[in-house]
Amino acid sequence: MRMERRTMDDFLASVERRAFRMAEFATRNPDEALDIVQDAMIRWVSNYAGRPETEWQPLFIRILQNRIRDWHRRKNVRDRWDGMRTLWRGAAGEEGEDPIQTLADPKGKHPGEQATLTDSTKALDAALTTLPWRQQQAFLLRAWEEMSVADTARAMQCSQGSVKTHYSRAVHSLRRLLEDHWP
Amino acid sequence: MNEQEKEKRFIANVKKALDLGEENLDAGTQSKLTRIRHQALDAGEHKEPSIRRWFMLPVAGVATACAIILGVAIYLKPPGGLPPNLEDLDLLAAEENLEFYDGLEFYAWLAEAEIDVG
Repeated sequence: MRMERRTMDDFLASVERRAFRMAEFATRNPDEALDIVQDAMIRWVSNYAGRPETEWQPLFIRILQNRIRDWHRRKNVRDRWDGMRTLWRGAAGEEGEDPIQTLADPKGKHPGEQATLTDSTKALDAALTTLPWRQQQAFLLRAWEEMSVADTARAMQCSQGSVKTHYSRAVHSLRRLLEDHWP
Repeated sequence: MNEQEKEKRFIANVKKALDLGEENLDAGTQSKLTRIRHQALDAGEHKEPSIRRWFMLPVAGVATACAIILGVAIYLKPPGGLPPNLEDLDLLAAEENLEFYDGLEFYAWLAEAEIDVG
């Protein structure tokens, strides 16, 4: 049975901020993060809103994780292509505007720039963005979403062992980076 | 405080800071999130895949039933010759019969001649 628009709207409104923050940590770009969240919302509404409400949140998180993973794959390809272009330009001695340079600045608006946040929160935001994205997402899902290792592994489509490794490394790195704030 | 407790406290602080960041999202971003949420709901409603599937189900059922009835009717039709139009087709297709019809006038003349002679 198709759910009422109001019910779906309430659910999405309850998860959108956190989803945006997760995507923003992963991309370091608010515009890219908004695109990812919107894509995840559309897929969720189109394909999974008819499922029982108890499944909504894990399904949405899984879709969001897939979108973030796709974004990183595309970025890797783009970065490789950019590297090849730079090498080729260097060899040919050409100059000119690089279209990649015209893309949105990944550091344009950092989450920590919000004036209302405390110094510790700013420092945490900065530290999180330095983590490899798999570590970052494992940490956010385990520590923030309080998901089990098994659920995190399902959302990230990896083994439970990988989740434990990513999470452990993330905690180690964050504690080192934030020891001045939270010893 | 042992290492495990330190880590637990660290995670609690991190969670609190993340919650704070989520709560203090700027108005511009919140407005954009609201807009994309409504767009996503509109896009999902326009797609309506499950409703379309349910709507198509009876149509597909009726079409399947018609095909089955037609197939059974053809299979159970008693052998009684072909329909008239198919008999005509069979007649026209037979080469020897056409030769017979070509000489029909000759046979009629011959029959009359035999009567006269007789």
